[in-house]
Amino acid sequence: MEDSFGGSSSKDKCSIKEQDQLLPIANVGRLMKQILPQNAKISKEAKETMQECVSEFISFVTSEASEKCRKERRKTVNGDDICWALATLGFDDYAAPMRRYLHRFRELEQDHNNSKLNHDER
Amino acid sequence: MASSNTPKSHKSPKTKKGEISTTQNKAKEKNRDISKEENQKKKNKKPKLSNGNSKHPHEKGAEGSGEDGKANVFPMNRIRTMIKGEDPDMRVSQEAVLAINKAVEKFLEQFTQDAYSCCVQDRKKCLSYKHVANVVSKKRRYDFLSDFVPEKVKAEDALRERDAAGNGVFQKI
Repeated sequence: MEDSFGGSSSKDKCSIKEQDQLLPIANVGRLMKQILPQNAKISKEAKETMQECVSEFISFVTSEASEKCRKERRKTVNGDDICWALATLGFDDYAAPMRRYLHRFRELEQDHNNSKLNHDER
Repeated sequence: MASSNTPKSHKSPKTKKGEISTTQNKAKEKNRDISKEENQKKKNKKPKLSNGNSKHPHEKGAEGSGEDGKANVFPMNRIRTMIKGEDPDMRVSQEAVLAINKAVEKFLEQFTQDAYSCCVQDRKKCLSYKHVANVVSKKRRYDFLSDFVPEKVKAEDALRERDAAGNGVFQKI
């Protein structure tokens, strides 16, 4: 019984770790369907391949951004580093909309903080 | 007697007409109520969908603006975990995770479109592995995926290459 329990727990740990290395396939599949025409179908193998590619993309961009931070002796990766990494790795058309998005996000963040302060004051 | 009879006959059609009109009014009111309910249902559905999609308070604010109307497609914690896995020592800000989330979304959209273009050229309805592999091999942007998505080679071709290599070695000897 102990052996089986240990086995199952180790298996669970392995599966959990494996799952954590990839984005959920349901989200990947859903987004793919939204992009393609309604009559188009997607094989399971293609979804799984996309899942891995997307995860590799995250590693690819993160490594580049992380490396930049290390060279500049900073300990925190921020949005600008991600934008820079995207531009460096050949996804320059992503960088501009990303900067706009981050800019908007920061504005919202400030508004949120301001509203919090006002609420506290009241 | 005749004079007394006539007003009675007059009164009865009036009452009937009144009844008819009241029923019509009631029917109209019912129709209005039904239409209102339908409208309410329609209205209710949309916010539910949006509420379901958005998990973060910031995103709710962002939804108002047209350009950033979408909520995050992928779970933030999962992305954070993956980023952490890449470099455990490095800290990651919230906006960096958000930026990666958006970048991945855009990447998947474009990658899917490119793959579907191959699918269309192939005159197929089902997007399959070979279309993905084809895109990776053709476009330079996707070079970093070439190890993950190699194009499949037939066994015959592989054997031929192997035989050729063998022949080369043999000749050298």
